[in-house]
Amino acid sequence: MNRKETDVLQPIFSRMAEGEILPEGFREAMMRQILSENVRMQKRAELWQTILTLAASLAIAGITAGVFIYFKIPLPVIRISFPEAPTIPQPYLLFGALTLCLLVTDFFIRQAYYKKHPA
Amino acid sequence: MEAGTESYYIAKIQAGEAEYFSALMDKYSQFVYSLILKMTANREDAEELTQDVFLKAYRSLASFRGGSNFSTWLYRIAYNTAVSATRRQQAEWVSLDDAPQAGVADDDAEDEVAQLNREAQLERLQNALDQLAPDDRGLIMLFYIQGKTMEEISHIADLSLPNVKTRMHRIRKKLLLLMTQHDE
Repeated sequence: MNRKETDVLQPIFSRMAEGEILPEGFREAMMRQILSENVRMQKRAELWQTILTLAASLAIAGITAGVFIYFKIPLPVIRISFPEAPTIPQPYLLFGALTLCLLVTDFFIRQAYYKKHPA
Repeated sequence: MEAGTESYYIAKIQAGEAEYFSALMDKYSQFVYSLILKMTANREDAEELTQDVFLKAYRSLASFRGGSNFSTWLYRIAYNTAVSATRRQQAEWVSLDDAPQAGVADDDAEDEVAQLNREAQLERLQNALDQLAPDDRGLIMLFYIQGKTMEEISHIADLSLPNVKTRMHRIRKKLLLLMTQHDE
């Protein structure tokens, strides 16, 4: 069937096309759905990214452990040496002070970031 | 990529900027709705299915690579959605195979339809369309209202080109027959 000039149905269909208008408010309602779907899709993508990162980390740890066990590689001995008591009387105080410094720095960096990029 | 073109909007949406989807909706929502309304013959169903079509299109847009025309791709989703929704009703409609078409000359029926006044033509066409199966109505709408070619229709309906040609010929013949049988 070719689209020919003499096709008797063509002009009748052309007239019939009028009068079927999409209901009012459809576009707004649809766009609201699309935007919430977009948020859902982004959250889903983030969740998958986290799952894949965890799976990859576990796989790397497993492979490393497997290599050590299979080839019977001796594990290096880890020694932690603390400064002697007379030099620093309280080593926990040092760690606590360092942690506090890092937390305060983190707080100020976050403040600066949120000021620059408001939600 | 030139701003304001269809591929520009698609690239933006694929990059996560969902608000650009409104441009595609503005362009295609009316015809998608008309096609589904013609196939389902129910305004509420048509509105709901049109929403489904655009949601499906949005979800699948990430995988759209531009291998085919966007409108063909979208109409394929719309056609399949409407066919699935009306599948249970299909048996109730006039089957083209059952229709008494043999021996009816196309030219005679065309002449008879051409001689009718404009209102009668429109009314009879509407009545004839109502008697066709939803998927046949969809095919004929794509051809006459949207101006799609046979090749495009074969992509949309996932049918072979010879199959589409045969079906379109039979649907058209059936329509003319139903239009001329009106006052018998």
